[in-house]
Amino acid sequence: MNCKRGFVAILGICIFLFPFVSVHAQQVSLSLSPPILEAVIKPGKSILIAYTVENSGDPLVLKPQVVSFVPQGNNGEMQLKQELSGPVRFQLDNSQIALEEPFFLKSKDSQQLLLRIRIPEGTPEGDYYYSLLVQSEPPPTTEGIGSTRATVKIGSPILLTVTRTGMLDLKGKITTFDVIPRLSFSLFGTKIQIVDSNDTIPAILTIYNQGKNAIKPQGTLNLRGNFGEKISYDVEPVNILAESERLVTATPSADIDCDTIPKKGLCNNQYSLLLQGFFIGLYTLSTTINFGEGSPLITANTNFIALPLRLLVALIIVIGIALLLLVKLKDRKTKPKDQTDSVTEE
Amino acid sequence: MNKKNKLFLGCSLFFVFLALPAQAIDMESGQYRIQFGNVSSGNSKESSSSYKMTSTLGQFAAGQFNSNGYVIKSGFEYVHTLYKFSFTVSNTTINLGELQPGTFSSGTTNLTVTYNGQGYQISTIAETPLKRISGSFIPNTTCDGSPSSCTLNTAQPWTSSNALGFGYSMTGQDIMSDFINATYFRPFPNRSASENPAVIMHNTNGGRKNRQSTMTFRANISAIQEAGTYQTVVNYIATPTY
Repeated sequence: MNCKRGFVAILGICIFLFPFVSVHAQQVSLSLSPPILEAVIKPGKSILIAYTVENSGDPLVLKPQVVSFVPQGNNGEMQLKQELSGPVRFQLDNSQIALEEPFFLKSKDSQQLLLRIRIPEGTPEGDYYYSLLVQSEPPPTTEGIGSTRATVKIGSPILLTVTRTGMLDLKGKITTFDVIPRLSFSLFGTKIQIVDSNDTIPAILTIYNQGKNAIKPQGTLNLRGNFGEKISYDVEPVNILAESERLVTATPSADIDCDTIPKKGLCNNQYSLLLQGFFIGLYTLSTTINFGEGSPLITANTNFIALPLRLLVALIIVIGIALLLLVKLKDRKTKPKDQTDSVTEE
Repeated sequence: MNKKNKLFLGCSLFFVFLALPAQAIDMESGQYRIQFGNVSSGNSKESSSSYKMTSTLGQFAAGQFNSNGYVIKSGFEYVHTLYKFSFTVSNTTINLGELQPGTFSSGTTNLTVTYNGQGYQISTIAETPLKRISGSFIPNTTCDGSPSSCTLNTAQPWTSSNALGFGYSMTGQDIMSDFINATYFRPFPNRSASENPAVIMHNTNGGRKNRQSTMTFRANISAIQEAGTYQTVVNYIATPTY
């Protein structure tokens, strides 16, 4: 009897307590700093960089690794490789954590990763691109249901330039420099580009890096109007990796807030510059770019004509309607009055 | 000295002290050394229903300094623009429930990114198709199919319950422009087939906090699909752009 009572009591306690044990989906929240590393190193030398990975989510098992990457697209995106390639050697100087080895990081905690980067003697001069990744382990499987389990990798690009002398191969060329007009046609071999006076005019500047080292463009985009008005925009010094192309933006006009702007179409593409205002007449957009000390100055320009097209169309429609009304009014006035009267009498 | 003169002298001294230049100071102890240290003369934290304001008084060399290729944002107040690059996935186990033939099974997770300066991208890739241990799998969706089949990098509408497969859609901030609305889906790239990850979120504009999107997973099976537990692992890869 006592045994039965005891069993019932334990069962009751279990039933009472179990609902308070919370079961929730695992949240992964990671941060990694510094977000990018750029270094120029001589062969035979090494550097030590302290990264910090922070866990703001649930407790996690994490694994650090370094992989190579290649540039993808022309907006600074990267395609990560599955493995590490090239002569550069990486290791963690932490006493208890190594690359490719898992470690535990509890919630609201952080871990410093001391990454040593060594350039062996004899490493060919040039650029080498890697990314430090910290990867979470997937949660355990759940039997009986269709499910997907997620792993999270957070990365930090590492751009290494290996040089013996400090001399860099800085060569770039402008591949595209143009505005996106409303109308475009060729007249006697000259490209004519027409925009509406009230248009937001997107401009595109892309630069291809022909050299062996990453370049940072420095310079301006200048807009000059036919009444002498002039405005300059500074080019943002983004990295253009060796043998890759990148869209170069000018600050701050290409910084589009897609959450608030009414012209959502502008958010579907990336632009270097958005020219806003009221334009009338012939304009020249030019650019002057260099890539640092000793690099040549490169220039390009493009022209466009701004006309109040919408205003003209509206004016034509108004004039058309006005003429039509005038003609009808004239017709009504010239109709014989007696003819109208006779119809009425019938 | 009368009261008026005393007041004048007091005010003059006060303004002279205010005009003294702030200077950086070096401080050191047995274990630590602070180089170029700065002691501010005041600070405050104000707030209203819509705005918050913090201020620092008397800081040495505060401001933005530009030269070719470099920008220095110097001063305590710039700490508010220094976001750590962080990435959050709200739920790492997406339960698609018991899969029923001809019925969409769905699950969602939220992705949140805070980034600084140069922009970011989030990519995704599945390790394998949604599959059983035995090897049978649910194929990638082609959405509603020809002539508007979706591909790894082009979302298309998936509304027909006769269209089978496994895929995902994105809604929210910084998503790729082919996800026009919540009915637009893509199949997952597959690492076991040596495919490359697909970019699902990106932004190249200056630093922003808490950019959020929702990923919806969807599966639809045929009546002859082998019964059992179908699973896969999906990787999210968050990297700042270079």
